[in-house]
This record gives sequence, C-alpha cells and structure tokens, in this order.
Amino acid sequence: MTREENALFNEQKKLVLARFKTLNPEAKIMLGGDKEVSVKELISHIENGDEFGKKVVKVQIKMLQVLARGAN
Amino acid sequence: MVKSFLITRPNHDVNTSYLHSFAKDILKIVKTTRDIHVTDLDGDKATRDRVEEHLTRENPRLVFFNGHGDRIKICGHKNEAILDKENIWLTKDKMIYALACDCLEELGEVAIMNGTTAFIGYRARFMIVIDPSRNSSPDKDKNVVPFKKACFTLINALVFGNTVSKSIELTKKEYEHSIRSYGTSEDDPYGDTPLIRFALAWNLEFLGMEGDPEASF
Repeated sequence: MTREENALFNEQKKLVLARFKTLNPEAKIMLGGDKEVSVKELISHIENGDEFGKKVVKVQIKMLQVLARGAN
Repeated sequence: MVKSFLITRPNHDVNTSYLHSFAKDILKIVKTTRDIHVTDLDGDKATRDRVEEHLTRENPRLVFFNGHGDRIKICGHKNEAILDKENIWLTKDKMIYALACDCLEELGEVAIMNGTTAFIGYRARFMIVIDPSRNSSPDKDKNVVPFKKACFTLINALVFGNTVSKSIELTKKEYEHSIRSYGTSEDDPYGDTPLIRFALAWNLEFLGMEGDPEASF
C-alpha cells in the first residue's frame, strides 16, 4: 500500500468505525457454521486491523457507494 | 427433454433452517414445471451417500447445495461432508450453485479442474441478519427477506435458462436494490437496517463463480 492509499484507508476506517459505533453493540450477524459476530466484535476487528477487519472496512465503503448511486 | 435438478437442504440448526426456508419458493415453482425433474434431498436425506447416488444415477445438469461449508467442503445433514475433493469428480459437466460459506475459494477451483462446468458460490462467509425472536420460524422473519430474495433471484435465473454470468448479474442488481431500498420503519421495527445493509453488501462483494460464465441449464 502506498502512503496515499494508506492515508485513504485510515480515513475510511475512521468513517466505518464511527458508523458501527452508532449501532447496538450486541446486535449480531449470522456467519454460517452456527457462528455469529456482534457489532462489538466487528469494531474490535476493525480497530485491530486484522484481515477480517480490513474486509469489513472495504465492504462498508462499497455499501456506502451503492447507497450514494441512488435508487434505480 | 426433461432436465434434471438436484437440491440439498439440511435442516438441523438455526442456520440451515433459514437456508432450508429460502429454497422453498424455487421448489414450489419447479415442481409445477413439466420439463424439469427435481430431486429434493431435504433434512436428514441430505447425506453424502444419497448425493453421490443421485449425482451418478440421475446426472442432474444443475445442483443447488444449501448448508454449512468451508473452503474445502459443503455439508449436509448434521454437518456431514457431502461434497469435497474426494467426490467432486461426480459434478463433472454439471453446474453447481453452493449457498454455503467460503467454498468458492478452493472447492470451486478444484471442481473446475475436475470438469465441473460452472461453480457459483461465495468466497467468504455467507451473512444473514436474523430477528432472534423469529429464529424458530424463519418463514416469518422479515429481517431475512432481502437475503432470501437475492438467493431466489440466482437460482430462479439459473433454473429458467439464464447463463451463469447473467444470473449473477441479476443477483448483484437485486442485492444493490435491497441495499438501497431496505429500511422503512415497517420492514425494520428493531433498527437492524444498517447491519442488514452491511451483510447484503458483504454477500454482494463475495458472490462469484468459477468455470464457464456462458453455461446454462
């Protein structure tokens, strides 16, 4: 990752964290294999910067881009 | 000519009960379609022996697996591995849609190397957001409606002859439509919309395919 890409990712990470922190921390997503992940755990993955956390940031940004494109 | 279609849908825990429920609509439609013969390996019938028997004897062109999975296998009843590297050769010349976690990542690639025509699935965990007060009656859980719609869009498009690439395109559009449109107070009484939108975007991102994008049923 270049310095610019890194800076952009850090900005995205802050934005995604701010959004997840407005949600109920105990709310859960089912993941398959009878596993679950709570909002609190998603936040922890993002803050730790692990691979799952990085994917969460990427997907949340894409979700915002889909929303920004407006309704069909 | 009657086309053969095989579906597996175990139903032994909360997760599989939701996928089992998602597949009901396509089964209803297919059962009224004269030129499609469907075999439904439902609940405890979703075993490795039965899957292998049907893949061999009926030679279905399209197989729809529902259940748990990981990078190297798809599971059936009580999480028995019903498709893995040992028996993947049985899916030669067939189209696979696996509504199971992760399996496109490795099993999908192995399948194509063994002659499977196309393998559609997810490169990560398949996510859903359920209403915990409804987890014993998935048919009545409004939270999962957009997930169910996306899964239906894909299998419905495949069953009625769309190519793999077109079916995926339609499904991605359905995911995008749900991301934009979900979230009125009527369909989200518990404020789960942001999480539902995230999970839909996750599934949108990791849905993909290996093999021939122009294949059709």
